Amino acid sequence: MSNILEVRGLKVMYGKSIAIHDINISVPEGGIVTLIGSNGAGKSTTLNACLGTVPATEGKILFAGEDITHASTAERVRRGLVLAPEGRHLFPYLSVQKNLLLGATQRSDKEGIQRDMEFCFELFPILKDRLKQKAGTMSGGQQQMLAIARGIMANPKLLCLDEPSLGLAPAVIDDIGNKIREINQSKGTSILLVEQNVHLAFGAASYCYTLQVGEMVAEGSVEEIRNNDVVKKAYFGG
Amino acid sequence: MGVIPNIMVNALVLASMYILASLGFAFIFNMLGSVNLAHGAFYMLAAYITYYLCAKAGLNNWVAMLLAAIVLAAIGIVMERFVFRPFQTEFDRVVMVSVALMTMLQQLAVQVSGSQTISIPAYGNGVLDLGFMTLTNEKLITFLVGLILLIITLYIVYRTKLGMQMEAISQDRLGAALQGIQVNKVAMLVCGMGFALAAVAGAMMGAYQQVSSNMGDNINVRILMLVMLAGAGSMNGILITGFLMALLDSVCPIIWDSYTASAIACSAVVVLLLIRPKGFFGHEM
Repeated sequence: MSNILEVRGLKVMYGKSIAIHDINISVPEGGIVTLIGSNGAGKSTTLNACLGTVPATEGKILFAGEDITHASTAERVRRGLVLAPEGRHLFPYLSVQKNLLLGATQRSDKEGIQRDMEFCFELFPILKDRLKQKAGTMSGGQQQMLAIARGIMANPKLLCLDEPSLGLAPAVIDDIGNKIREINQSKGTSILLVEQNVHLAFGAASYCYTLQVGEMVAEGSVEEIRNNDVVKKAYFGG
Repeated sequence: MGVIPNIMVNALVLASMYILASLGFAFIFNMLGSVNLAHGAFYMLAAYITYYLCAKAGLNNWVAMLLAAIVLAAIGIVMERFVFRPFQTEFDRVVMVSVALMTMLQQLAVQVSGSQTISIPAYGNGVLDLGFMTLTNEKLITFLVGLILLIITLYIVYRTKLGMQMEAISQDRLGAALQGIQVNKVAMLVCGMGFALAAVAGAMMGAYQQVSSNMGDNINVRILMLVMLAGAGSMNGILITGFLMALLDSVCPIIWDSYTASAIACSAVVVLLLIRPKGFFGHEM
């Protein structure tokens, strides 16, 4: 099985401080992979480097077999590498519909866009009801759904989700977990899920990477990681 | 006879020019968060370029205006690349650079043209008799130029992909970049467009009123006020406050001398801002 994303020896520096180094991640085509770690472990930095919103100091990022380390963010999105960022970064004064259309801003296949929008409405029916509502007026859970749906609108090969559980009620988090699996199954989209909420991460993913203060400390199948002493110690503090 | 229609006509003509001059400032402010205090100075620069192309090079004033707009669009693109983009998060630096540019351009204008009053040849001559009032063709043409450019701009903002991308960048820059919007490219286009619109306003006002080294200051005050009054992020607001501002500038000089009139118009804006600190049409949920 080939990998949709391969991160090799990635290092990112903010000024003189090292944010992450020697990070290696592989996401198989059609798979769901999670990256867990506590606050400040470098999870978001890793994703941002994958999208090119922060520059990689060292290392390589391969997407669908091609080197995209120095490609622009727009180019990466066009190739199908899409991120629903931490904090959602929706367009709060624009309608749900316009937010979704902006997700597809680089596409010109009208039918495909329409199809993906229908898919989003099936996935999150609430968005169809709220089509004309301004994104900023919706609840946190609905905004997270919109952020994920906006990601889908770009027709990604790999959809990266940065802490979709942040600030949401437990019941909503379970729902988000189910939707992530549904996207993966019905569209075949690979998923890279960054989470602090291990419950959500382990429920959705099959493979797991664990970051701690900028370093990869463990990786393996979710079952292995669940029973890994290093992870228990590092992540659960026990 | 015809005082009120005359005031309305004058207000409409001024409003179209104020709004034209303000759009670029508002785009740059909303999208890039940069306060370009030199916007008025560039408007003045365009008036001078147009004047010299007419007076010294003997060009037709429309051609001269078009050339000035192209030059200013290029300057806008350079400003985006070398001022607004690198200093994007540094509010104070943009203010410093733009104040420096403003001062330099003003001094340059004084050095080059001295302090005599000059003006661009009128874009229209003759009078139109409407029955109930007469209207100079110059006013009509000035207003129509403003109106047409305004309609084109509004069309771009509300009906095109570029407009939606501009809106997205104003509301969440990172969010916009992550959708694959080429933020810098859009910013560059918009700066070029905004500067060109200000150039047209400068070239028209340099004929409708006069070309002077302090015309930039006058328009700067108007631009700041009407953008603040409209409220952050509001395009429609600019249309309304632009007309309001122009109305004040058309009415006050009838009652008071021009300095008092200007002071009173400005005071009115301050009072309005005290009542609505966020402006009248800013983002509301």
